[in-house]
Parts: sequence; C-alpha cells; structure tokens
Amino acid sequence: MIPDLSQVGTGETKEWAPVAEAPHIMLDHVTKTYGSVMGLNDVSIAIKGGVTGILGQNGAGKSTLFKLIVGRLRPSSGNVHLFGTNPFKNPAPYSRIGYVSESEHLYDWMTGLDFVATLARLYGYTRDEAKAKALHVLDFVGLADVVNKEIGKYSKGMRQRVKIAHALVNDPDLIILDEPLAGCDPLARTTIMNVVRELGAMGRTVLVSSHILSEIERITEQIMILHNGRLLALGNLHAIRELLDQHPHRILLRTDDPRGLGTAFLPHKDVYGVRFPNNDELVVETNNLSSVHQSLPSICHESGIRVTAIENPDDNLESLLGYLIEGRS
Amino acid sequence: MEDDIPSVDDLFAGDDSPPSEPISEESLPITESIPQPNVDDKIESLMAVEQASPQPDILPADAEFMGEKGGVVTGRGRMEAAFGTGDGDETATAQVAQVASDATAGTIFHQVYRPWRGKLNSRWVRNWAILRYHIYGLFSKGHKPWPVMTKLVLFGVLITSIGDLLMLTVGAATGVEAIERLAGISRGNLYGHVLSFWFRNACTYPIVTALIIGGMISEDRRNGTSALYFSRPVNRRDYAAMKFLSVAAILSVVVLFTLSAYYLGAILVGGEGWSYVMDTGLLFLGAFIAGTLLVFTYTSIGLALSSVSSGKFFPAVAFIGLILGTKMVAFLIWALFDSSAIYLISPYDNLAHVGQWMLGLNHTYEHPASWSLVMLITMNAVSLYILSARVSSLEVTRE
Amino acid sequence: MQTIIATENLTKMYGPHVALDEMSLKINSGATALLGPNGAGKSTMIKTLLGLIQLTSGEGEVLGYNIRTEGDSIRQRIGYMPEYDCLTPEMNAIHQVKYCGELTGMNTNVAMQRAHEVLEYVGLRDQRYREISSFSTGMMQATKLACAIIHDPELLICDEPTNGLDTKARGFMLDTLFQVVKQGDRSILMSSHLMDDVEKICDRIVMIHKGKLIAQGKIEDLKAIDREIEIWVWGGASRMEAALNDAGLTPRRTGRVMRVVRQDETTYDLVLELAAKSKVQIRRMEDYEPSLEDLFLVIMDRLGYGIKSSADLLQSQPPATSVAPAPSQPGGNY
Repeated sequence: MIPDLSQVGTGETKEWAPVAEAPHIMLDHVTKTYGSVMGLNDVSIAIKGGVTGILGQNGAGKSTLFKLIVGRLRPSSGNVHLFGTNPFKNPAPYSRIGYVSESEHLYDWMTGLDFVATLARLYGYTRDEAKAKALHVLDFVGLADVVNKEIGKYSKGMRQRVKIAHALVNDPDLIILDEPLAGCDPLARTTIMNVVRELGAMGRTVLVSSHILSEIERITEQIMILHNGRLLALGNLHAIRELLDQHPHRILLRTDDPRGLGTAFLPHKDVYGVRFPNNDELVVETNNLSSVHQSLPSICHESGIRVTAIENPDDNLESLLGYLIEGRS
Repeated sequence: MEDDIPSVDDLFAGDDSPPSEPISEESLPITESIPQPNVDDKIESLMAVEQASPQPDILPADAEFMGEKGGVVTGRGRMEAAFGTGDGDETATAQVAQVASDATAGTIFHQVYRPWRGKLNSRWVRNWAILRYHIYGLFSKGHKPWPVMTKLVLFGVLITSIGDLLMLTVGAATGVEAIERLAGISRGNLYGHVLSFWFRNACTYPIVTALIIGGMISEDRRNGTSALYFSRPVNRRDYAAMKFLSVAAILSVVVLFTLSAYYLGAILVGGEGWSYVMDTGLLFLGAFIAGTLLVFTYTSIGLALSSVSSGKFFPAVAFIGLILGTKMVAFLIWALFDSSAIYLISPYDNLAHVGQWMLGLNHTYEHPASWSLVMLITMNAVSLYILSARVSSLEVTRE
Repeated sequence: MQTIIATENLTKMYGPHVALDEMSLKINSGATALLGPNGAGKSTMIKTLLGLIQLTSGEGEVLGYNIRTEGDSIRQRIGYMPEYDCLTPEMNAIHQVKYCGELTGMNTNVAMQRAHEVLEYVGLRDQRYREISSFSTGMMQATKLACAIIHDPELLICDEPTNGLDTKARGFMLDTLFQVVKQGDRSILMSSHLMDDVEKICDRIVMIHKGKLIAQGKIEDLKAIDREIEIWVWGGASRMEAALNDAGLTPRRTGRVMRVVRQDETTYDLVLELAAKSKVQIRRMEDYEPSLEDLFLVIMDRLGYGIKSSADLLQSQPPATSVAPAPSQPGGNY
C-alpha cells in the first residue's frame, strides 16, 4: 500500500505503454487546496486492481480525489501517477480511464447515441467503430430503446446510465465512478453492481463512491474512508474494524437457551463478558473477534444448544463509519 | 384572460391582515408548548382507532402480481450480487491511519408531528398572495427577492419620472414664469410624460420594464419553482394573470401614478383652480389611456420574452433590443426610403402614433393611425398567445 | 383503512405514445410505494393524481374528489414534494415555506406560525433564517418536505425523497417521513429506487412498467416464504463449501457468502457442526428472507428484463464495417 517510487516510469517517451507492475493509481503525498479551503490533505495511496469503495460525507474530498486522478485538477503538492506515468508529462494514460462524474450536465440537445459516439471518437476510434461501440454500451446499460432520443428528454436514471455508458465505451482499465447509482432503478443498479464487481475481479481498477452503504457492501470489502480531506482508513472493512480495539466486539447469538450457552462460552480465554438482552439472545463480548469466532462453532456444537443466528452487530460499514467519523467530528 | 382579472376590491376582500405590514420575523415567538388539538378532533381520532382495529387488516387476496395471486419470489438477485470480491480464503489486510478518539454515535430523535386543522381560503386569496409576493418584494424582505440593482433603478426612474413636477415646483417657488410655461399642462407635455422617445422611452421605461420582467417567469422555470405553484391549487391562468398584474402594477406606478401626480401637482402649483380640470380633463384622460396602453403592451411583450427563456439576462436584453432595435431599424429605413409605414414594426412607434391620435397632436407619421392601432393589438395578441402557450408548458416534474 | 385513491382504466396518450395504459388502482390510507423502472410512467402517474393532466379516457378519485374536474380541491389536500429543486435560492427557508402555505390558501399569520412549526419538525430550527442557496442537499430536501406538509395534508406524495442524501441525512429524512405516517396518521405515496428505504416506510407497493400496472398489494403478501440460511465464512470458504456439499446441502456461494436451503431446525446444527469440523469461522449466520429488491428483480425478469453481467459488456463487439458508407450529407452523419 505504501507507494514504491522505483515502480514509477519516467513518462517522457511519447510511445506509451503502461509500465508493467506499476500500480494503476499512485498518489504520492498529494495535497490539494482551494484557496484557503483544504480539499485533500497529504494523501498517499497505491491501488492496483480490484474494486475500492470510497466513503465519506458530503465535502469529505471524494470528488476532489477523483478529479485529481482524471486530471481535471492539478495537485497543489505531491504527484499523481497513473499506470506508472505522470499524466501531466504524458497524457496517454488518460485513454485508459473511464470516468462518471457527479455533474448532471450533459449536452441536452444531442441524442444519446451521438453523445457517446462523439466522446468515443475522442479516444481515437473511427466513426463507424465509435458508433458500433456506442450502440453496444448503450444497449448494455439498457438504453437501446431510446438511443435516438435527445438527452434533454431523458429521465434522471437514464441520464445516469448515459454517463456510465460513456465511461465504459473505451473499455478502460481504470474506472472511476462518482455516485454511479443515483436515480437508477433496481434493475440497472444490480446490473451495474454486478459488472463493477466482475470488472474488479478481472484485474481492472475500479473506484466507486456511494452514499448508500449497503451498495458498497455488496460491491466490495475493500474500502477507503475520507474525512475532511484526510485519509482515515484504507483496506478490508473487517480488518479495519478489528484494528479498532477500544470498541469491544460483540457477537450476537440467537438461541432458545442463552444462559446455558453463555456458560459454555465463559471458559474461553478471550471472552470477557456475556449479556442476555432478551430471552432468546446472547451477546458475547470480546477483544479478539477472530479467536472467539474460530472456536465458536465447536463450542456451540459441543454444548448441544441450537443456535439459529450469528451476527456481528458492529462489523458493518455503518458502525465502522460511525466509529471512525462521528467520533471525531 | 381579462375575465379572470379581479377588481381591486376582490383582491383585498378575503385577506384579514393589513397588507402594508408584512410580519417581521422577530415578532413571532415560536410556540414551545404543543397546541392541544380541540376535543372534537380527539374524539374523532379515538373513534377512528376503534373503528379501524376490529377490521381485518387486509385480505391476502389483495396482493396481485401480474394477474396471478401470490407470486413466488426467491432471494436470487441479491445472492448473485452478494458481498465480497475475494474468494473468501485469502487473509484480509488493512491500514488505519488514525483511530477515532471517542465515539459518541447516536442522537436522540425527538420530533412531534403537529396536526393543523385550519380553514384554507378561496382562490382570490391565493391569487392575492402571488400578487403581494411580487410587489411587496420591492419594499421588504420575505417576499420575492428582487436584486438591489432593480430596486435602485426603479427608484431612480421614479424620481426622473416626476422630474416635470419638480421643475414646476421650482418654477413656482422661484417665480420664474418661463419654467411654468415650459412645464405646465399642455397636450405636448402630457404626451411627453408618457410617450416621448427622448428621454423616457429611450432610457427609462424600457430599462425598468426589462429589469422587472427579466426573471419574472424565467426564474420559475430555472429554479423549478413552478412546481410549487402548480402542485398547489393555483391554475395556470391565475398564475399568468397574477404575474401580468404584478408587472403592470409596478409599471403603472412608474408611468401612470407619476402622470397623475404631475397633472394634479400642476393644477395646484399653477394656481389655476380646480375648474381647470374642465379644460384639460379630457387631455389627461387621453394621456392616461395612452399610458395604460403602454404599460399593457410593454408587460405583455416582456412577459412573453420572459416565458420563452430560462435565464434572467436574455429576456431583459431581448426586451430592450426589441423596443429600441425596431425603432432604430425603422428609423434607418425611413431615412433611406422616406416611407413611414416601416414604423409599424416598432412597438414604441405604434404606441406613439396612437397616443398622438388620442391627444390630438400633429401626427409625425404619414400612415393612418388605425394601422398602428391594429398593429398594436396584433402585437399584444401574439405576445399573450406566446405567454399562455409557454406557461402551460411549465412542468411540475421534469421529464 | 379507507380508500384514498381509486382509479379505473386511466389512459393517457401523448400522440401515439401511451403514457398510462388502462390503469386501475386502489390505494388505501397508509404508506404506499410507487415503484417502477426508469421511464415507467411514474411522473405521469403523479401528475395525474394531482389532477394536472387531461386524461384520454378513464375515471379516478383522489380523497373523494374527481381527478378530471376537481383538481383544485385535490391539490389543496395533497402535499407534493418534487424530485428536483423547486426552491428560490435567494430566499430564507422560513419565507419560502410561508409562501407555500399562502399559495395553498392559508392566511399570512397562520402560514408564518405553521412555517415555524414544520421547519422545526423537519430539523431546520436553527437554519430557518438562512438563505436556501447556502443549504446542503439534505437541508434542501428537508425544506421541500416542510413546504409540502405546511398545510397538514391528508396525503403526502414524495418523489425520490432520499435522492442525493448522505447516510445521516437519509436516515433523518426516513425517520421524519415515518413519523408523519405513524404519529400524524397521514398517508404517504412515495416513489423511490432505493428498496431499503421503501421497506423502512411503506407496507404496500404499486408497481408500474411502461404505463401498465404490474403489481400491487402488501409487500409481505407478494413475497412467498422460501427460507434459506445465509452464512459468511472466513478462513477457508472452499473447505466449508466442500464440507457442505459432502453433507448434501448444496450451497450456493459467492465469495465468502454462502446460502443453503433451510430444511428444518436441525440444519442450523448441521452447519455449525460442519464449521467446527472444517475449522472455519462463521462470522454471520441468519435466515435470509427475500427483500423487496428481489421481488422487483423477479418481476422485471418475468417481463423479460434480466440482470446483465460483464460477459454482455465484453462480448465480441459487432465488427466495424470495413468500408465506410458514403456520408449522406457533407460532413457526415454526425
């Protein structure tokens, strides 16, 4: 995760090929200020492959991060490298990027097909290739019926899908999705989430932001949390949660005989308490989640008491964000 | 559309608050106690509960799924889109930059929904609210937010519009008779107050109209505020009529009120006595009608321009361009070909021609005044048609 | 439990385009969700219920008033919260809300007093005198809600009330709407694409597609019970999968998540026993019930709109024609 400067290409040749083994995105102590307002504060990341969910409240710096990566902003200090190349010296990496911005503005007077095809031509496709590709991606996002309608007549969800179509039209290796699912119906939502997950599994790098935490949870476990321009956490969601030691972990078990089962758990060395919130619930408190979980199935099995549900009430994005962000704001 | 415009009495009839005193924000205490709903309501709600509970909640047969009763749904979709990109075998790694110091998650949610069973007033009270919103905005906060620029220009134009009255006062005060003869009541001066090209119709009236109509309808389109009107019991004709009346009322203050002030002031200052009204009353009436025509025409053209656009700037510039541009073009062509009929394209010249005819001045145009009148009516009709067509295209939702 | 909306064979044509097709609805008081994919005709439906549309044919009543002739009376008793921005940026929230009340026909003094009340209710007590242009998305949505409930409407129609809100604001908005139904005993008709939100507030849905009614009723009745046990396995998902297969439970697996069909009570014991034997952690085990989203997807699947996968995206694309046809106009077709 720490940037490795030896992997960075010089980026001076115009004949460009992605530097093998280089991270797709590398931010090296990047800071961006807007006048006296801090957009992004000393962020260093290196990401190669997979889907990363970017989380944070409105104004946390998510869009600034995306704009820095796609080159719409230049960092105030630090460097951005894409595929091992500094795009401000050699803009070639930009042809490998697909970007869905949060902006709602499209050319309302163009038809969906013209819009996507015109943008595809900017990647260097010929007119016919561009048109075929545009038709293909528009069909994929489910707009086949309305490709010849003006974008101004599209509903919000359709406009969103046009944006996604144009981000996918050049078959990119690095895909940046800023709130891609806003206004989409469940069908488009599920389709896009599936595709994002599968593209990530193929080794492409996808950054996706969303306010709907359950969506992020369904796409990926790899997350990045920004707050007030600072990078708070990066990595696997469950691993991050385990690092937060001072919030004890709770395991909730639903069973007919919580007291009997509680007795079975007490001898375990990492369990420091059991509670019985309800007649059919047992809460086991521990500091070492992994150890307790490891022996949990055998304890339950040996005690002979039937357990119908196991839950980790704290180990999800919502409570994680609560611990990380709301604790400090 | 004229049928729906109420008389002033109607407008004021239903409103029980004095219109000149908008409520100040500070004077209203926020009620801390929960208002007790009156006893009838309580009984009603109790009865409603009693009646509702014994009924079976809903019959399962109510569920209808594409004609079939009770479709079978399994959790297929979510499984396929379920968690996790990894295969579940690898070890998960993470970095945490900083660890939160203390967690104070959770807020106490305390909300009370307070019912309100008041009387809702009738159509004309609602319309009066629209009218008031636009006009009061010029004086006080809490109504339509007019730009400071508009308010300043309006004030300046108001001052220049009573310039002739000021001049008369100066003349009377200093006793210089030349001023009184120059600025006193005459056909020319009455005409000039309303319809002189220089300086009023070149500089003041079109500009003040442009500033007022600029955002009148276009901003409702741009901000989407039209949804607030049309999702409430306000119909489109009332909406357009009230917008029209608001603009016309503001323009009337600038044009007609100052005209009346000048006329009455001149009688008082000139010391002619009230019988002078007998001599000049008809002239004043002619000028007043010409002024009304001017206000009506400028308002309808301006609102038509405002309704076709979604910005503030375009209607204002287009209005000034239309009034002064057509005049300029007509003047140039007239200078070249010496045919005054070309002035028919200019709204201002049509108004001026009709005004000259009404006040009995020498016509400066060679074509008959009736042509100008017909042209004027056509222009208003076209403008009002555009206005009504565009207002009916204002949406509650965006498609 | 009375009927608030009843329509019969509503049809609306825009030229040849059918926006509403023989729509026969019956909605009872309470919270109802209006669902449908993008472009299904939800906006047209809402406009029809507000009495703003000249119908081609059909009859309907909202709150007992005819939607063809008594639009004014309907709109006096309905609060509508639009999806898009509808506020004047230069105004203070309190004055905007007050003006909305006046437009409904409230007296100035009453409207002012109610504006204070509803703004406090939607959580903007301290921001009442701030200009709307300085508001965040969540505060704008709250102001729109305040505008809609100032006259305490019997029916509140919300179009995408949580669109664009972050987690905190979204939770607050949902709680607020929920209070309107529970505490205020009012009805809500809400359109949303977020099925989780819908399930939090509504107990009934109406689903439309291409102007046709395709499903209506209580959410539970539409979902048949087909229970599965979902487990999240750490540290050896493949071992666990093999063990389950050996035991004859045939799990379905995606990553670390697996589902097995719950045969009876002993299935739980069996799963835990297998986990103990294969030495894996079970981080979560729970009964999985189909959600509203599953319902939506199944319905769309029956209508022939399946979920696509990346194979559809990356399949060999239609080859570009090698010889470009002559452009039909100078400068080409673009």
